[in-house]
Amino acid sequence: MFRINKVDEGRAIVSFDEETRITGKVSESFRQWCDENCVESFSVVVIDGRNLDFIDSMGIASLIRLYKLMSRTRAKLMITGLSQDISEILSTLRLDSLLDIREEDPSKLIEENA
Amino acid sequence: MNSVLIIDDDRSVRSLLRSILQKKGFKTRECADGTSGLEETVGYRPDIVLLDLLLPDMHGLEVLDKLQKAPVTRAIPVIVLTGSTDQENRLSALRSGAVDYIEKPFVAEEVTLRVTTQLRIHDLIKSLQTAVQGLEDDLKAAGTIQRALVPSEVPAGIEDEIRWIYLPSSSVGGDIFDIIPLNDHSYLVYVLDVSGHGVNAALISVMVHRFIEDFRSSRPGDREPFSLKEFMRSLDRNFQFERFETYMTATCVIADLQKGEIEVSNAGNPFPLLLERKYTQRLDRDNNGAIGFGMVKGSTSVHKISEETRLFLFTDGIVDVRTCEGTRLGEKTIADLAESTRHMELDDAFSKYQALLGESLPGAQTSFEDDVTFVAIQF
Repeated sequence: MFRINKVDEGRAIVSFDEETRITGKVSESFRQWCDENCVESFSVVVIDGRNLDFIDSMGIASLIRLYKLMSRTRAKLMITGLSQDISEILSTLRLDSLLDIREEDPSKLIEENA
Repeated sequence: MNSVLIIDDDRSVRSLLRSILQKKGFKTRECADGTSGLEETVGYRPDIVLLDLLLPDMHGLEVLDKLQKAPVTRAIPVIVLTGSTDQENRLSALRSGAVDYIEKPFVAEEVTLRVTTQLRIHDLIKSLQTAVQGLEDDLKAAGTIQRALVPSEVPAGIEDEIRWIYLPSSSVGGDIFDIIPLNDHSYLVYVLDVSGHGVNAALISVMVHRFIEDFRSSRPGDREPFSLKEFMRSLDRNFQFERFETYMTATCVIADLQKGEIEVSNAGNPFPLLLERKYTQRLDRDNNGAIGFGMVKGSTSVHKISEETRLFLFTDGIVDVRTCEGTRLGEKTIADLAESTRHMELDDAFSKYQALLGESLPGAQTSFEDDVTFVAIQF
């Protein structure tokens, strides 16, 4: 369901299988998966949200947790490819001013943050 | 000491099994036919039954079927005794709920090993069921406590019509709301959603409820006016994300009937809907953003109200309800329904929302993926 593409030692792209819904227990699994894969230890992480169908409050909390963990080491977390519905949810929560939300292709963001 | 009931019409078989099992410390009882075997199972309630398939009065599969259907005997494990060539009956017995089989002629060690193994599995299942039941009971109790914090009726002294739907997604949820009189001419209404569901979210929602009561009681009556701005900022300060790894959204409204106005502050919830006779306003200005990230400035907006003003407050649960077609209900559907029921009495309009939610619950499902809180006020 969740995939990590380690571009090099410091950079990674996190992506999702088709039509993933991060809700309820899946949100907990995502949080655990991030811990198991030490996602926060990279200096640049791009979350490719193109296959993200829906995310609930618990899923958003797991994204923010990751953001907060990475902020401690000044690592960079970018989220791209979000649907309009998810972008609107984040905007209503004003989390678009906290999280780094982009529209570019994940590989391009990785290249730009070499 | 575990008890074993042996049902077999062959006296020598019963005698052999009795001898094998008693040597290993089991208590045994015996029956020679299906009828007495069924009666003895109900009356004696053994820990396990050894059942021969060829009985004089009825087939062993019929005995097995009756044991499986009766609530008092359903959980008792049954091992069938079969001949070495009786593969079809053996499979039928396993399909009908037997937990294992023992082939005749018996090997003493095999009998005790199979009986002991099945009893151990049965004990594990029983302790697991007890543990799950305990957790379910605790959850139910927590749900009852949480529901007790939500008003069961409009508090005395408030004459506005207020209706609500409050549906936690499981026994307990992260949504909470309340109606709190502030003085003889104003009251506070809030709908609040703690991220996540279940016990964690519910415990935090109870803490917030308590916090709000304390905040309110520290500013009694008219001596010190209840400041919505200060209240929102105080929530943000006291429930920081780092503390619980969770955030909240809230819509809070102070209705001042003397001034004929409401003061609204929204923090990340879907925007409240304000209906007047000829227009509907989506209160989307001054959104503070979610609570817990230090972003809440305490922005509020003030709106004049009349006897025709109707206000809808809700958390995202209702917006994200999946219809039977698999699409999100969405804010537009809620707003459209508010428009189309504007001319109705509040009770009639409200029943349309209840029907809308009812239609979205497939089959025997009684709750949604997320908590649903929906409050309607007719001033």
